[in-house]
Amino acid sequence: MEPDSLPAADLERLFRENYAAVFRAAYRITGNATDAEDALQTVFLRLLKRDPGADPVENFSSFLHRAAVNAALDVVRARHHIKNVPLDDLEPVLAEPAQHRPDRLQDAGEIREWLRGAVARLNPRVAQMFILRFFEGKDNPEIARLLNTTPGTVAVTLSRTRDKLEKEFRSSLGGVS
Amino acid sequence: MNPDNDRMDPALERAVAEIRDDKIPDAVVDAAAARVWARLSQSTVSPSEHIRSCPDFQSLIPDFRAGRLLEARALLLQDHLHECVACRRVFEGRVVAMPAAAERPARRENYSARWAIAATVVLTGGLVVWFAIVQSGPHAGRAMIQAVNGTLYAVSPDGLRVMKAGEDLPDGVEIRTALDSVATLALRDGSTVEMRERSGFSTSESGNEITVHLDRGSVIVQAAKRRSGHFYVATADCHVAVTGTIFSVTAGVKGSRVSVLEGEVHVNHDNEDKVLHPGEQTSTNETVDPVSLKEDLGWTHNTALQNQVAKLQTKLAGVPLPKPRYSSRLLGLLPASTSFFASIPNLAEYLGHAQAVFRGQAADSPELRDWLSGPGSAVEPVLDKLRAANEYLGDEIVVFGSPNAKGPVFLAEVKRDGLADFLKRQGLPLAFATRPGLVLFSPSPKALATPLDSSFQTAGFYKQIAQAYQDGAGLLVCADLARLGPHPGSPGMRYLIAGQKQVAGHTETRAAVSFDGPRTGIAAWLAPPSPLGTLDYISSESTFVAAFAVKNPGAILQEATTTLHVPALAADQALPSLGGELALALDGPAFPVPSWKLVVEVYDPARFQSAVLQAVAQHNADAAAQGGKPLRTGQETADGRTDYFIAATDPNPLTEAHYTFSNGYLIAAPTRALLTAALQVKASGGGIRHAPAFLALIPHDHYENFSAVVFQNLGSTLAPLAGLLAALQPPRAGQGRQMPQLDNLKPFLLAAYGEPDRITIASNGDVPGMSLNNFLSGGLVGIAANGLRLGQFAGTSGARLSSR
Repeated sequence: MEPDSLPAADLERLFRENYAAVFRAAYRITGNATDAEDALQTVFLRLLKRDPGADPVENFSSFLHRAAVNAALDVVRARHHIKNVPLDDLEPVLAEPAQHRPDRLQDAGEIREWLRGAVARLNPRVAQMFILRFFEGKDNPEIARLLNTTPGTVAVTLSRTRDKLEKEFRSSLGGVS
Repeated sequence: MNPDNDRMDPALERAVAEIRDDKIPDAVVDAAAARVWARLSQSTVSPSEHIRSCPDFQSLIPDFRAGRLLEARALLLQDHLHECVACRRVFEGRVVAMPAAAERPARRENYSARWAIAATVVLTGGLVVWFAIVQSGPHAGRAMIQAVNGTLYAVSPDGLRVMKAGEDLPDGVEIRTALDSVATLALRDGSTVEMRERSGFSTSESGNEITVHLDRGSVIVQAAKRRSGHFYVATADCHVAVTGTIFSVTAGVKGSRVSVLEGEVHVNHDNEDKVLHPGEQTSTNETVDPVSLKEDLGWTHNTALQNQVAKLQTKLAGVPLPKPRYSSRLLGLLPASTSFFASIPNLAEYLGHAQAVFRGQAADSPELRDWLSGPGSAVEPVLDKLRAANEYLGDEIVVFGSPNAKGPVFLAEVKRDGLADFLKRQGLPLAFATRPGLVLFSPSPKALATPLDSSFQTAGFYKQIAQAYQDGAGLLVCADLARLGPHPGSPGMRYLIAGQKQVAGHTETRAAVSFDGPRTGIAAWLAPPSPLGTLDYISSESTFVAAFAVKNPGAILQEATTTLHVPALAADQALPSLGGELALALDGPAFPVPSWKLVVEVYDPARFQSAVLQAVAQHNADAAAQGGKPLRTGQETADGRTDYFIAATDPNPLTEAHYTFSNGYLIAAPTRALLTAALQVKASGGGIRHAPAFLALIPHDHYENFSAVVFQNLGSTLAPLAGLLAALQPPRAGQGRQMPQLDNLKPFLLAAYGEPDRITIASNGDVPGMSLNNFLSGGLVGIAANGLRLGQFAGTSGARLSSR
């Protein structure tokens, strides 16, 4: 189906069927309703303005969910003024803004915000996997299907990502990696 | 939580679980969806199809009569016919409809597009109805509480009731945020209102108009665009009317303040209507000073708004000043009695900017302040009005006056006829006079009688101003202080020459006070510019430095010991040992022990140390007599270096000072490690004067050295401190993002130059209110505080500070 030729009724249906899922996915990543609303708007605007020559969308729910994750990550990145870094180049302690380092974190809210920032710095595809797995609670085969990859790749990537994030967290807390 | 049974750090596990389990009320999601859909609908409809005006409505009438109009549009038209007499007459056939506005493109008979538009309109109408049904089920009020961070109360005669996200706000019910709480409300028309802590308001509706009655505190309103009617915010002393804008309103004890981030806002106060644009601000009481947009709107929890504020600040700060002027025809025409002179580039933004410079200089000069609040009181309001008249005038507007004149006189070259009529239309009570190619106007007709006889050219004041032109003038504010009225606080001061100009892409602010003869009194303390060897011990990482060369170190020492409450040194012993240089710095972390560093030029260390020990002995004797605790002193020699310390009785790193002597300087710091670091900085030659951040801010002028320099780059130091302080505090919803903003302080450098008969201060920055007075009064703390105070201008545009 070509989004640029979406009949109005289909657009309405897509919005009605998916706005809550898109909003809630974005809310988990951004942590506040205003940013989630921005992400919701961004997702459907991108859908409306999608390149007519782009591949047709087979599963709009998956498409919109991935779009929500990406839009929300963009918001968090903007909030933390950070850029993506490849997983292999992750130098978390150095990259982390001083005020967000874990050794300065005192309560759960700040740890959540730190985690959101750390995830947003990951490679976007890796961040999507992490979010789908840990924030959304989806299993590896489902993630693989959503991201068009294999469950084995998902498992390996998630394992490396989790180790990296944990290492970053502990390293900053204790000064030893 | 971990599906692979590989447990992460428990704190991370908890955070992940909390994120996954964080539920948001359905009502909040639905309300957000409704707003998003309304905005999406605008994106899907061609702009040419928007109904904006009466001609647009009238063009729909034929289709409406024929029953061809879409239902949604038919409803809009019917509603408009009820309230618009002109359109109703057209509908009733009593008047022939005029064609639509010329800029509206002619309709093309593109039926496929029409059907697409029709489908979109139907869809929009359908979804709006759908959302209305969804919303109107459990929610019947004018506004809905979208989010609460902390506690929100509904206030009624029965007491306070806690309100939660998703609840309705009925008309007339006052709501109030508690301490450390913020809340966001979504109004039916798509507007949102964000409430700061301790804020309270209620809403009412009349016809198509919604009013937020702000009783106290601050709100940020994102007003939706409206087809008809207005959105109002009413405080006790002003009425704000808007549509499709973002702005903040604060209602306080002293008055109200309105700041605009986007769009246009009309503020009515005392029956005067003022229009504000993005970046502008007004208050209803002159005792409510303007603040930067960042300060006024920075408390928002809305990330998009925070970014928008930052962008606007950057944009405003980036407005370049006009090119400097190197001569002035108008200056040469003035009469000899001229004792106040201002020259303003004739560009609308800078006429507004000039007011800020006026205020800044008035704060520093009692004589100028007196004149501007007396005979010159009309200067600011007239400048404000001239912003609209600038196209009639030449490139420069000169304001001049004298103590005996009844008011200021504005002089400009005439570029276009019709200025008199224009100013009359503006309702300005000004008298006019014309000369060939020139126009003069003033609030006082008698002031216009002053002849333009060029007699000013023989005056000393003229020479001072002419010199300023030769150096390149942007905005200039000059005063013959002695003739405006001698002031006991500034004996011997004669001329003030202050201004701002663009130099090498930077805004440079400079002010000079010259004296009748050599500087005297406190103003004489500042030594001529010198190399300031004390800076060699301050590292390039330092975030605050105040360094001085003084003629009278004894006086400074006395003030320092008094201010810092340390034992007074025996003057007869200590003074001969002192040189004239002194520097105070924050050179390292600010927490847990501030890494302060003091460097003083000391010619005779042994004599100085003896004076220190004598002062401590005297202090301890006094303490013993009064039951107080003595100070501890000691020394340690290692690697050929002798370190001394002086400390309170109880060990505490905050009350210890270690010092040593090296190459004619005393270096003091809270730890020996910092002393070692300072000596290493000196040995390596990598001090602050080579730091890029320091070099980038040095003003461009002919001086090689400074008499004094104040530099602050506290952002990097305050960021971790702010983070730590925030972490130590209990969660404060109302200020949750205030502390981290401390890291946004703008770097700043202020340089001072003492010459035999003048003192000049300069800054390579946008600082209209440089406090020259602090330098002239010689207040040590005042000078240091000056750098910090000026730092608060971070992000504030001098170009459009306020329209108050």
